[in-house]
Amino acid sequence: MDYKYIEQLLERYWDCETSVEEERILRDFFAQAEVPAHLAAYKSLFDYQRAEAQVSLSEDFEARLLARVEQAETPVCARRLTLSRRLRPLYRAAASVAIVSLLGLAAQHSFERSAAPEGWDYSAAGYSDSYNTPEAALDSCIKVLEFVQDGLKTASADSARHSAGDAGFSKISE
Amino acid sequence: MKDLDFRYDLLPLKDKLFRLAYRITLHTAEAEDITQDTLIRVWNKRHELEDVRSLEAYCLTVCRNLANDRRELSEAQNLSLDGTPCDAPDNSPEADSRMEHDERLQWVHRLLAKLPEKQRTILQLRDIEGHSYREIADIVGVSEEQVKVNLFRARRWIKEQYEKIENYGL
Amino acid sequence: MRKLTLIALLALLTVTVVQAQREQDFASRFMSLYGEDAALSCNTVSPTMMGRIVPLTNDSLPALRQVLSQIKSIRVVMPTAETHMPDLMDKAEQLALNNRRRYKPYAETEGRSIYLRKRGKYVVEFVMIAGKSPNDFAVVSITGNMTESFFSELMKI
Repeated sequence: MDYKYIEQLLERYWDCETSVEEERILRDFFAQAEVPAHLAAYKSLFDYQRAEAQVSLSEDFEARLLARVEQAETPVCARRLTLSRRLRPLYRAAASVAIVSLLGLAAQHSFERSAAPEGWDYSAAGYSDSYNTPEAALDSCIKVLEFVQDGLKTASADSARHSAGDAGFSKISE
Repeated sequence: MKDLDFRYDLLPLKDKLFRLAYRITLHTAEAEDITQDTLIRVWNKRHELEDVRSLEAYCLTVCRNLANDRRELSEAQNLSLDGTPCDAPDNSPEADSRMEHDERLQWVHRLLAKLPEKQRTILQLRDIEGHSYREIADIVGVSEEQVKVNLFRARRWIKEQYEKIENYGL
Repeated sequence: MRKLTLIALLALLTVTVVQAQREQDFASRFMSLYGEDAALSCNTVSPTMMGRIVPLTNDSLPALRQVLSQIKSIRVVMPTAETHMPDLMDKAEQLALNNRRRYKPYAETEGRSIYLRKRGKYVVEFVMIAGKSPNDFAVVSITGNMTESFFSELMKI
């Protein structure tokens, strides 16, 4: 068997010219039981590297560490917080509000659509009555309607004059 | 960085951290302490790690710093009044229990223990953990060139020791 | 818990704001623009009051009942004794012009302009701006779900 490749790799290893992958090849090579005599001396070095990579902590270390972490978690410790981090709970609240109001709006929208797909869309809360009794309000309503009627009549008379034979004012709006 | 989970993000690093701490302090119990301190320290700082690119590299850096602090402290304690180091039985390199039966591996272990800390750390990260030069440079906080120079010196010195044995025997 | 309260409060606020942002009729818009400066008065019949008026009408006037039932609110803006603003008519016309996508001119005669706001098949607002002289200036806003029959019935009253 030709060991030139390995010899070359080893030389380059001492010169720090091997890649991580090539160094793994070296370790794998020296891991076999039979290594040619002229290279055998270095077997211990690569065996040691392999063995050391396997070293791990005792089993109970994890349990002890987790106990310590949980214990440390219980007391609230003061930490320096950045402003954005301080406001982080608010982000969540704001996001919730956004979702809630979007849902609300959507619900309202669809409700209105189903109730009145078109039509009156004013805020009923925006009106405060000037009249205390319905009778007084009715009186005023009738006066306003008469006023409007008068306005409509003159307008229709005008438009009839302007466009002779026109059926009426409703056409003007088209 | 995303929200850290202790069990899934940090705990898996424990063995690697332990190996590095052990390589630096050469003391199992201290290395365990350092591993624990490293993980808890990083966990407590988890909200300040936004700029950290690699959690593993960050942990290894913290681990190395803590290990060096300990090492310096124990070395200072072992100084005699006239400032010359005296033998400290606690600080003597101890091999992994599995190596007790293998004289050859113990010899390598003692050999590496003689290297300066920086070379030891770099050798550990490269030859045992298989990190790239770039990663090692990040962890150790030096340039890639410096990593290579230190690694070269370490390997060269090891080779020399091997050649000495070959030429003169143990 | 505090977060929950906060969410509830903000949600309430949002709903209020959304409510407040719903449509405003022409007369109330005009009042909010010039009402204070020009010392105008505004007479309002709210949708609630409107609901109480309709039962008062007796069967002898079916046209009136028909008309009123299609109305939700009436607002009339008029000058008071203190009003000294000669160009109110122009201002009202300007407001209608500024909102020409909303208020389509319906009819116009000397001193009187009528605009309609339509939504689908309904006329939701009827606006009349009147004022041959500054003294008989008036802006009438009638809102509701008015159909073609509204106008024909109105003429019968």
